[in-house]
Amino acid sequence: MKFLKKLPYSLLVTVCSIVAIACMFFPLVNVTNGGKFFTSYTGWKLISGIDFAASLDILRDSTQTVTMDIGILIVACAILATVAFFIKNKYGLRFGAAASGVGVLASVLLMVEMNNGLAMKIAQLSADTQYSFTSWPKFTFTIWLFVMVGVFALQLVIGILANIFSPINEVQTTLVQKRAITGYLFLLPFIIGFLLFFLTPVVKSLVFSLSIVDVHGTGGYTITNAGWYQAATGTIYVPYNYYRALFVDVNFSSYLLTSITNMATTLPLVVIFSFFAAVLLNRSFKGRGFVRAVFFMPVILTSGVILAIETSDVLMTAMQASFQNQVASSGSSGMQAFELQTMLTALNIPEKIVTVVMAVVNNLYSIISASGVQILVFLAALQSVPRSLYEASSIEGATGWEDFWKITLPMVSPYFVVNIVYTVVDCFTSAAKIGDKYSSYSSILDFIYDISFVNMDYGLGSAMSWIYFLCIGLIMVVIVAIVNKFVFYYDER
Amino acid sequence: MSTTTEVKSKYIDPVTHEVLTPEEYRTRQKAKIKKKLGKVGVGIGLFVIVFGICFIILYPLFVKFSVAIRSQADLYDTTVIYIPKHLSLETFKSIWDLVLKDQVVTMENNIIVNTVWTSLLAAVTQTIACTLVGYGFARFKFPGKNVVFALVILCLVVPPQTIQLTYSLHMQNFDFFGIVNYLFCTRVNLLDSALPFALIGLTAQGYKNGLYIYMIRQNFRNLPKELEEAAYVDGAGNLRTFVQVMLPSAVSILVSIFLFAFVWQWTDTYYSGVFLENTKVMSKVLNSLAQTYWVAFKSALEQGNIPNALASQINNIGSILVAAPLLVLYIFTQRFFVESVERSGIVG
Repeated sequence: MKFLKKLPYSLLVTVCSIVAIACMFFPLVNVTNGGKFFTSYTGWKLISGIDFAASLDILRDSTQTVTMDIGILIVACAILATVAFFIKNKYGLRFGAAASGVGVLASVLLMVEMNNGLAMKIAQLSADTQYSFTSWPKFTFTIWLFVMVGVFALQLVIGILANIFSPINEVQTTLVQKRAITGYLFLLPFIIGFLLFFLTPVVKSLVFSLSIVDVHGTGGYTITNAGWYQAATGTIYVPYNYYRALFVDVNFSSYLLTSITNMATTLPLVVIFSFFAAVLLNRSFKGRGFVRAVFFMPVILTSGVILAIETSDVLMTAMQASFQNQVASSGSSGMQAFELQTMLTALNIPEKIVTVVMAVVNNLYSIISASGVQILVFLAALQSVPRSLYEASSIEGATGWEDFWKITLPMVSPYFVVNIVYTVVDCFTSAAKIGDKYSSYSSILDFIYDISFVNMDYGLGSAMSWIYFLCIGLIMVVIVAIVNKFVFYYDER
Repeated sequence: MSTTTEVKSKYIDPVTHEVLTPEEYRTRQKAKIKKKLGKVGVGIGLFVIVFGICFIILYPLFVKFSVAIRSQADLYDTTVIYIPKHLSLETFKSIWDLVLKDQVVTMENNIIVNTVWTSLLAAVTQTIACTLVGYGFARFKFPGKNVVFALVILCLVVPPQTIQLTYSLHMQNFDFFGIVNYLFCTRVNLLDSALPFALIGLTAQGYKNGLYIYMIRQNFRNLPKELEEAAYVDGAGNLRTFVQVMLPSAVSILVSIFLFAFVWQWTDTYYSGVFLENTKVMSKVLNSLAQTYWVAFKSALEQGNIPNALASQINNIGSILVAAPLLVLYIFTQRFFVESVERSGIVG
């Protein structure tokens, strides 16, 4: 068995891949429809989904679904293969074989998924109602499946054998390697969830946004490729749904702009306020426990449905307004919003600044209630600044003011990035108001929801959400890139 | 000599026992008073700010209660602002009679049971999964760790609404990479059951799970290395170290995460909207409470728009009904919440 040890792993992989590719052209299924006869190969499917689809009228609809699933799983397999290769290089053959075992599993899943997708389509073609398995030759599939499984199992067996019979010293696992494997095991729930509940819906949603989606009553759906559709002008070619979202729909772009402006005003306020509040709560004073409990309460109380109810409530707003008017008219010296405005105007402060200040004052409640988690993060950061730094600085004779600017702020600065990311996400995903009070949607996401679930225009809805997400991502990347220039990293663990 | 002894008795620094000239003494006294005044000033300023912010946070809650317990006549009375003239629970009662009674008393599709069950399930599964993943990130070194962490952040950044549609289709035709379909020739419809909550919880894909993973990771990272090294020396394996040594020192953050998950599921309308069509949960019922109430109230008579003031009162009552159990829960658990912050700084 010594030759197995010498057999280069890469050669093994190459051979197996060649066999696998050959298997892909194993005749898969025959479809007869209206006198036409098609022979479909798995490999052909792979290609036709991308390019040749147009030439096959009958299979045209079907290929979309199949390609979609295939795409997802190819990506997954590619990731797994890369990981396997990486592990093999770093940790030796044994772990490489283990990882390729996972890869084999993924490949089997891939095949099953492809078969199912295709079977579904064929069933649709023949019966055109519900998917059934009576009308397709399961037998062919099964043989093909076994061949594939066999190839990959061979790969696995060879890998394991090579490990067992090779001299032990070479592939002995070290403690570091064992720890690494344990680490992966701890991460496993997330990785599975990412593939199953995140990547799959995300890719599907991307496909939807490039297609025309027809939903059947039974829960099935057919999608037609509309990726590069002819636009209304007749001369330019743009993605159909994206074109409609950006240039045909009247409301979308204005809502988008409003939520971005809202975010731009809220973000600095929330971050600065939460930092300020965290510094405040980090001091020791009487009743700190109570005050902390109150500060974190909005996290609990202004979420989900409660927030939604609050933003749409009429009496609440009226009450607040009457409260302000009353104080203003009674002439008491309270720093009420209205008084503040007259005061600032009287001081000849430019109107623009007054507007900004007033916006801050009027939105105080929403800012405070949006910054609970951020305060928590900042507080934890403040607590983790080493005490020794403060001791050293006090020996050197620094004042509290200098401590704040030279120690606290730099040490906490990485957490500004964290909080900025979180705040941007939170602003965009929570029920932030758009437009004026009379707008019927409490947020752009409500609007998108209406488009896709009430109007049943899934393609358009998906396209809108993708545009929205791209905006968020772009803004976030830019902001984080800028902020990162000012951040001080003390200890990169 | 005699003069200095006289002075000594009068102008002497209380701390250093130095003998001072009268001028020096006075300037020191002044500085002291200034310092004290400054401290008091800062204290007052702090108090005003803290009190003000607390007021802003508690004010809406107070208004809600005030609106909820007044009679309908008081709603239109402009002289009533905070303290109602006629205390009354009539709206509570009529909401109970017209809308809630049927949904609470019945055995099947009981709104309270549904809400508690989904929230508990989501909170427990999410806490377990996020703890495992967070611990993996914090305490182990392995290739590709940063890549996976970037994926965690990505999951947090993509708004759940972006994939809402495909999510619901995915759950409607649920399949684990097509295996179920291949073996049993069918796809499983998971909608209207609690399974989706458990599934996305166990795989750390629930609402803001990226944040939880981040927080737990931060917490475990700050625990001293000696703690687990001691456990390894004593012969504990990875799992045992995790369960018996590391977990007990992270109880407060776990309780906080549990609280987050529970509350956000309790008030959530997004996931219950996607996963539950006919199953009733509190957040969904209360979201449209005013409208449902009005329809039930007016059923015999002609339909019309609900008066704004009444709608508002009903909404306030609705949010009190949702929030009251959470408030009670928070009062009992806020200790852990605050503690989790203190604990994060262990390493110093």
